[in-house]
Amino acid sequence: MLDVFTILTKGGLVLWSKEYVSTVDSLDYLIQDVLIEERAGANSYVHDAYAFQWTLANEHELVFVAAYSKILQLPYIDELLKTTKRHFLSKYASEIKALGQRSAVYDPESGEGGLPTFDGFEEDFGLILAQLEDKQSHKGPKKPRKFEQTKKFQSSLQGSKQAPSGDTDAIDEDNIAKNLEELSLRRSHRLAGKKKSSSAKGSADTSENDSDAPKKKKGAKKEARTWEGKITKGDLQALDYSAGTADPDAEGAEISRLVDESKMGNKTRDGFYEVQDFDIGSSKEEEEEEEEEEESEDEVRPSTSGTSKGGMFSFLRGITGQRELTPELLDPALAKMKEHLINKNVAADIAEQLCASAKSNLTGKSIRGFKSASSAVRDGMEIALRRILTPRTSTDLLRDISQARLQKRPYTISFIGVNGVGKSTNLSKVCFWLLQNNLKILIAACDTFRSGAVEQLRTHVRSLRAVTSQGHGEVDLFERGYGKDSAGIAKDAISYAKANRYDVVLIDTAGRMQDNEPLMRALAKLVAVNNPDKIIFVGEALVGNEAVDQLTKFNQALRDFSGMSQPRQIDGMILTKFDTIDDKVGAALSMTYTTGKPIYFVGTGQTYTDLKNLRVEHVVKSLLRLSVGLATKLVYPLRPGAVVLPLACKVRSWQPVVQSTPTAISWSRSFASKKGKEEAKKGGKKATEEDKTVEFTFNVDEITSRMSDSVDRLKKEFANMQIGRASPAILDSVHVQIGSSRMSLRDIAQITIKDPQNLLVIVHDAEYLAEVDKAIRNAGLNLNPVVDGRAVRVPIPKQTKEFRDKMVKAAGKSAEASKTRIRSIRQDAMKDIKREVKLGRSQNEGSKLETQVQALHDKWIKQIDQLLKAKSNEITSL
Amino acid sequence: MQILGVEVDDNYLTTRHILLASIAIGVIWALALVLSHPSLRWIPSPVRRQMSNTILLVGNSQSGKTSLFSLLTYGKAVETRTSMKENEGNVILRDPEDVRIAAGRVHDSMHLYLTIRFRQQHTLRTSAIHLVDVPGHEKLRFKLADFTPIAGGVVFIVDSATVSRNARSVAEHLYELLTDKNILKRSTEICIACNKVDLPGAIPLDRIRHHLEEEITRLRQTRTASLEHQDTDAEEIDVFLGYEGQDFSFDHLESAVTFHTMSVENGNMRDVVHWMADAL
Repeated sequence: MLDVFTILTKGGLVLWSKEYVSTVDSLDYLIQDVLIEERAGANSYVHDAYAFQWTLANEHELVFVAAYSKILQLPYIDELLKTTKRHFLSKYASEIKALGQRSAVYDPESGEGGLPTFDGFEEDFGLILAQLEDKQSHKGPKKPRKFEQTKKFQSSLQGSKQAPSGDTDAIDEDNIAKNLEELSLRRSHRLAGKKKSSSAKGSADTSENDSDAPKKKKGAKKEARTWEGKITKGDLQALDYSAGTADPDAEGAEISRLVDESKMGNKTRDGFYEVQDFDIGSSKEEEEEEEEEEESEDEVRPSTSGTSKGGMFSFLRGITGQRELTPELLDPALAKMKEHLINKNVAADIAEQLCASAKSNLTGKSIRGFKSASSAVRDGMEIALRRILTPRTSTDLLRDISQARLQKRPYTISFIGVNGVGKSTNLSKVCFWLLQNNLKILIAACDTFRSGAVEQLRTHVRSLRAVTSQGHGEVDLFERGYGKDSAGIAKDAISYAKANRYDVVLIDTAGRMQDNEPLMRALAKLVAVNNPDKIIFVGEALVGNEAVDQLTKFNQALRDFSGMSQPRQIDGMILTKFDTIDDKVGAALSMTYTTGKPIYFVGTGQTYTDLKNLRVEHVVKSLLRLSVGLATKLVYPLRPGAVVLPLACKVRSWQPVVQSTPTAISWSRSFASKKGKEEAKKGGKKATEEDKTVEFTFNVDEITSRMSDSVDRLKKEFANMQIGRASPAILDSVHVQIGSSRMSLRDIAQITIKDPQNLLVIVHDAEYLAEVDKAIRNAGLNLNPVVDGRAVRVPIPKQTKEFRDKMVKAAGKSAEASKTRIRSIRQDAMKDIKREVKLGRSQNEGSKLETQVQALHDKWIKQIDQLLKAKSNEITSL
Repeated sequence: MQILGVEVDDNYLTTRHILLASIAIGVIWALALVLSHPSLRWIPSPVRRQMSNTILLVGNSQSGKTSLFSLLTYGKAVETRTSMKENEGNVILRDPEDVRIAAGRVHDSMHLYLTIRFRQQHTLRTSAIHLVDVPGHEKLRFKLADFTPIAGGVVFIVDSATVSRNARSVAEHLYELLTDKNILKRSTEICIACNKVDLPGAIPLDRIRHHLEEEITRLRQTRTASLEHQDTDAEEIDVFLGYEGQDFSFDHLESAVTFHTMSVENGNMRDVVHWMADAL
């Protein structure tokens, strides 16, 4: 069933709302996640338990939103939105128009200029909804929806109108329209004078009422469809007002609204354009033609306005009239914009999504004067791009670091990315900047894979020390050689940093292609084990479509392989090689749009100081700049006297040749050739040659600890499954969101057992009472806390049989998940063993290890079974 | 026609005529082009802006900007959602009658509307002011810069109930406002309106002030140490709020900063409305 239907302005004022269940605050999430982020091209949005669908009325800056329980399939929502929108707009045309005019001043005495009330709409809405629901129940099983029916509806009224809808649809819609008309006539009879004047005005001066009138007519046009010959019956019924007692004037107005000759011709043309709208690939030629046509209509005219008669006409039209942006006007301009964006290196999918969103945001908007459709698209796109690129969270790393300092822990940043994008290089640049701010930094060399990686960092550390000898900053390298588990090294580095009071730990990881599963698993493990404060993805500004793929796959891997219930995601990006791309800055847009995360820095050159903050306006301008030839080139000249360091080259061995002054170091270096890289990729083989003392890192203890962690987690989960008796362990997993930090409930409150049926949570700081209450309520534990003075009382509900059955099932599910984790740990371990055997570990030893792992696996699986059995007994017996 | 000057004797007149004619045409063309430029349709607006009767409502999401806006502009506070764009309206400032407002709550179908009564005779200013409600969502903050050039005063709204936890994000927003180049240039007056004082978690005014000053002290340190932006040819003024070597205090600013309490929910907004009337 429909839960909420709301009509609000884009400014955020709710004009009319009907709530069938208590308030859905998720509506704000819809606005924040979808409408502000320019994802309005999508069809629906799901948040928590609710699914949302919406439609925009851009000409009046209104949004119509319907929310319903996400488990329901409500096929009539599209139609409901559309019908309601049409009816609302036509019924309250004058009120909505007044709302749009800012000049009016509210006068409390007469009540003029105030916010109009739309209370009378309730009756109409009830009727619309009842009819649609009724229709739905009679329709029987639903046929698969046609493509036109889905995308069309949300895009616009215009678009929807052209859909060749089935007979039933048309007739039903007419029925609704008819009923509504009757309703309005009944009402108009009641307040005859007002209605009459407004409708007469509506049809008379079209030039002034331009933005409203077409809407009204379009509404009428729907009913007046005669070209299939099937609706005539419905029409007749609709026009048959013999039953009603309406006054003749109003009736006349209604009829004139229903049959509008001039618009009918327009309709077939609409139908013709229709196919091209959504089938861009197939009718390329026609589209181009259209585009040219559009160009001559839209752009040439203003430029010749000074001389020709047509220009004069458009000048006058510019002063007097407004035009409405229709999909036909928009499509060519949008197609051009899309192509333009792709030319600027924006990923094709994203360009498409942006244009779809722009279309839904612009359709119906009226433009004035000389503004062409393409300039409207451009302006709309500029705002959209700024919104996307503006970060949602603070990008002030220094502030975060000082926060961590107060908590007496090191701030950890890990750099991830594909091979050769400049992770180590930009890590050093970031390090240089942090050093300027007098921080003590530890670099963890966790690239244990590519030969030369550690030496590269060692060189960086040496030069960084040399460059910042006068400041208070310090930098050290934490290295453990090659071939080892990077997660372990990072962990050691962090605890070392904590012990030695470092402010920041920068974790350098090995580059990996996004499709390389074993390496991605290792990365997820590194993140899961160390939980760094920031995971920064380093990407090249040169990539196009690949950017999206890289980011989604990295995020996917972090999510899938971490084994955590709330996996980490990429927190931000560094865009490297930004000096090489001129104004093709599309990658910046693709990346921010894909992740919704900010770009922290851009790398713009070969020295340590070539790290900059991204300026949003600059990117927006570059993206929209039309002529590449005239573009001012983005060149970052070397400052005189700048120390040029061989940052970006992959170096196998570093040999300082001259070391005259600490700030001018030069090296003779051998670049890693492509062949060399390939060799390096063949596992640790390369390392074996160079460095004979390769250790085999496989360790059964580690497997044991990972497996036991996994079972511990299961135990915790089981403890959370409350069994009708108060136990503080129930609340162990509750975390409270306070400001931006997430704290364990145990840290901020004392949990005691008041009596067998009640827990008492005494919050240390009364300020957080509400948060604690909310956190317990939302922890998914099925608890209903009661705020009781300074404490929160948590009554433990008594269990019914059904509830117990449900809980046994849930326990089984968690046990199964735990088993899966154990199995995957075993699988990983087996792979590792095989690899090491290949590298030279003896066959015998290998098989011994394998049996050990297998035994461990069996043991833990058995334990899980036992745990589950015990838990099930406990639940059912109590 | 040949090069000017060679055949001056014969063709002098014609050349001159052609020249004059072409200049005239050029001028007409230029005029036509300039006049037809869309930006010129906004000629009246800068004129209007100089009078600067504009008050901006700024603040984080959910702090109550749109509610205040609708209460002042339409005389009633309707339910609001996150704003996607700015709201603009013209308002004649009247003295809100605190006492009667509590009784003015109307239960209207399913919603509570708060309506406000005004003392009819007490218009604080005869002419209407231009009120702009700037969206507070982080992604829409850039809109602020579009309005600061015309602002005669800024009301920065703070949610007193959550400010102790959100001090950082509130201070960041405020910092952005204070370092805006137009605000700095014109030392626009700022009122920090502590909204929702009626809520149980609300903290008193001086503590809010203290929290914000503390945060801004930290922020100005990290902000001035951050990296420079790319493309630095665009003018970028390094701003340091307050005095170096001293903790930040709102008294150090060029702009006068006033703190007032407010509760839109209860219609208690007398101080803020009076401030608006005085600021212009």
